Amino acid sequence: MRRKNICLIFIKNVDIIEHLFYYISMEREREELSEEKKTEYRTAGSTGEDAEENVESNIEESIEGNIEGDAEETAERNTGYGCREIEERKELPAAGPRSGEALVKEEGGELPVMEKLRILTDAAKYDVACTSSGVERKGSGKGMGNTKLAGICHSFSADGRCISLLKILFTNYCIYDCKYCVNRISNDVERTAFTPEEICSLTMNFYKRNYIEGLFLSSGIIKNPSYTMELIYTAIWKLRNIYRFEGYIHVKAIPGADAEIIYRLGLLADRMSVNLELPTAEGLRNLAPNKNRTTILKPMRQIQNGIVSSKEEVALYRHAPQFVPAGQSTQMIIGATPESDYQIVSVAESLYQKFALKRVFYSAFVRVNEDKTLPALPGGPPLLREHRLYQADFLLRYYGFEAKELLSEERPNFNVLLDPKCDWALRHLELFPVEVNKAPYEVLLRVPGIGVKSAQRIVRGRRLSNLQFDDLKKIGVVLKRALYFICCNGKMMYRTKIEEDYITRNLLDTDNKRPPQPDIINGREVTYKQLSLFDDVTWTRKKLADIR
Amino acid sequence: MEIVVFLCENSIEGILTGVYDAWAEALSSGLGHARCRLQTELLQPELFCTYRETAPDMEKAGKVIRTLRKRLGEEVYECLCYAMASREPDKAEAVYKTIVAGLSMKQGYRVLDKVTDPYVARCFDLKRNVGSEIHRELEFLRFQELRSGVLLAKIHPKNDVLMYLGPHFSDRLPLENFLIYDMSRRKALFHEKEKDWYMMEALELDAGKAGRISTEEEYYQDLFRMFCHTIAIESRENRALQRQFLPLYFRDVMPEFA
Ligand code: SF4
Repeated sequence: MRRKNICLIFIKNVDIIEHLFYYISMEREREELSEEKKTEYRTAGSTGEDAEENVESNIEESIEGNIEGDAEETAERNTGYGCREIEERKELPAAGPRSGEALVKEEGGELPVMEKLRILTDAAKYDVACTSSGVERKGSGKGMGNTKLAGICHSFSADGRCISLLKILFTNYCIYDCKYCVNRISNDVERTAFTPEEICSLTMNFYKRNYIEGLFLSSGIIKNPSYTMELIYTAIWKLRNIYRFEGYIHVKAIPGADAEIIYRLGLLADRMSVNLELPTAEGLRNLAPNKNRTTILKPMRQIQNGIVSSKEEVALYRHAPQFVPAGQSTQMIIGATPESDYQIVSVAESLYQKFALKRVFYSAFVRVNEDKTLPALPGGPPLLREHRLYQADFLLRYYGFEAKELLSEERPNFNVLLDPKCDWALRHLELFPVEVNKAPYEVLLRVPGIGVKSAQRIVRGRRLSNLQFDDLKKIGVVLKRALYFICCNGKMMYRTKIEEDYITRNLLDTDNKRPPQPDIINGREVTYKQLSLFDDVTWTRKKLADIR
Repeated sequence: MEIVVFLCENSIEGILTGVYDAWAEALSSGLGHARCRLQTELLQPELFCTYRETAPDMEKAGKVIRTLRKRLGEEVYECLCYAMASREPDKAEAVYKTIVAGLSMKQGYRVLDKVTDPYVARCFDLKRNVGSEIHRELEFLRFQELRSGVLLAKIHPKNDVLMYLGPHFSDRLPLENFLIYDMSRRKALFHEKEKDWYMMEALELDAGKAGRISTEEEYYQDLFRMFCHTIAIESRENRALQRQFLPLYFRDVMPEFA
């Protein structure tokens, strides 16, 4: 039964399902390989490998335990660009990349690449959105690279954020003075700039080794926005046309830059983003004196329109050039200015609706500068708040929720102990329990413990047979959460009270999220119902008060 | 009651040949599928079981493949392929019985929706497990450039996923010569520049030659290590989260953790 001297050949390209089997004796195959390759590839001396025990991740948990179980689960932070009106309109060079190259020479400096990479990574790290999703593209066979719709993470840094793209700044020189940013002009930091060549060979060599999915290039502002964008264009043009890189490219569009160059760049990039920076215009005025809301929204609109008309063209002529095929994203800083969660989620909602953004990213404010206009954060960056916003964001995009269902003027902030979906369900117990074998898909989606994938499987599965709790478990429903909200064939899993205080306590118990001494909050005993009213902002304030 | 257990080779064509033979037996002897079983290895011999070995046969496997793709569709076929790559000992039986279930349905392409069928559920589980390992290899596998310019990646997946990495990397690196080596199963996936990819079994890697890396290799490893280190935000450090996404199991081949 052992099969030796036999190898399988699969026809490349077309998916695994397209494969053909051939039996060919290994001897023959060996002859076909050139002498040189033979010795290179295959020989004696085995490599021992010892397997460390894998920490199997619990799939059920990841499906629904944390709503962000999607390929884009990144949670990160921010720098950003945005600018006033264009001050000096630079004469635009002809579309070619040459002119940009000359421009960059003077900024390049003589530091070794290792040093430059350190400085310009350090300067870029507060930027969120290291995602490589949104576009599926096969390689042409003439270059290097392809892209996957869901994106691929290649590593995770010590803060647990995903590393998908080579996230760097072109330069950390900047003429602006945004209060929250390390690169602001008034900071005394080491400055440098890459040359387009350096960016290209870093990207190619990292990509080839499967370190990254592509490049995320952004930059401080040299001279003016258009000039800076021209530099970025030069590098990206080279990467695409000289180095024939076909992987993922995300570039920042700098507000205030000429529409023409944003368009040109959009034809080379997969994703573009314009940073909103702060949730409200007022916040922006206070912390980013050189920027304003109108100039930020302008390129955002331009990119949106560009995407729409490019899609129409591609529908007509298959080979029409694609403009920003992976869509547009933005990001805002959370906790540097006093907006409530309700305001933030509402802003995100309108960005999705009015600007058709693919993603809005939130970044917990990290206090990198000493500045009296910036809030002190003794408890570190507001990570829990950021996490809740991402959860709510998923509810908006995939679960059919609206911002005003999740929060309101009266309850403007998310709960510290419960995720937004549980929180919503607990406030709408009159809608539960729902019958799993009958409830419409949209209703199933709203049940804590049921995610998008499990809701789909339920709907498909129940057409063939009646589902029991056992089946739900196999489908991936997190029963320990869902059991309070569902019934199968008229029966709930256990006899359980449908009562807010009771369910809250049980949910917190299963998640081990019970605060250590709940009864001493406010100096007196509290019910779980009251506890569920604590939001992150109040909670943090309370903790702050305790510290003082 | 007599049960016939078919022992087949642990490979796609082995298992599918087993399915073919078991099927023929179930029908011809009147045993029915309930009394036929398919296994890739002889675990503990049981009482009242007859064991029969089946040798992989490309023709039989090919017939089964064509039937599956025609009657059950590509999605189900892909699921079964993934399940057959699993390291779990009960995979052949789960696949066999899922095929039985699927072909007994009018709309066979819906067989995966039969969540109440334990074999289908098992297949789905196996597929999910294998699928996630494939994805992790796409994420965490690392190539080293050898002096000859060949890119070499060494992996040690728990399931037999090597084959499923071929389409991805050959589409992505069409102009490179690369080699992915499964250290546990001693087999390799080759891709020759501008050519197709193919697999070879029973190969040993020459530690000396495989260790001769190009002059630039270490430089880029250093650059990437420094990049990964620098990109982390100190005030957000969270090693547990990092470990959750990137289990230690994968890190031995990743230069950023060297
Ligand atoms: S200071 Fe410069 S680099 Fe920093 S956010 Fe403002 S424009 Fe961007």
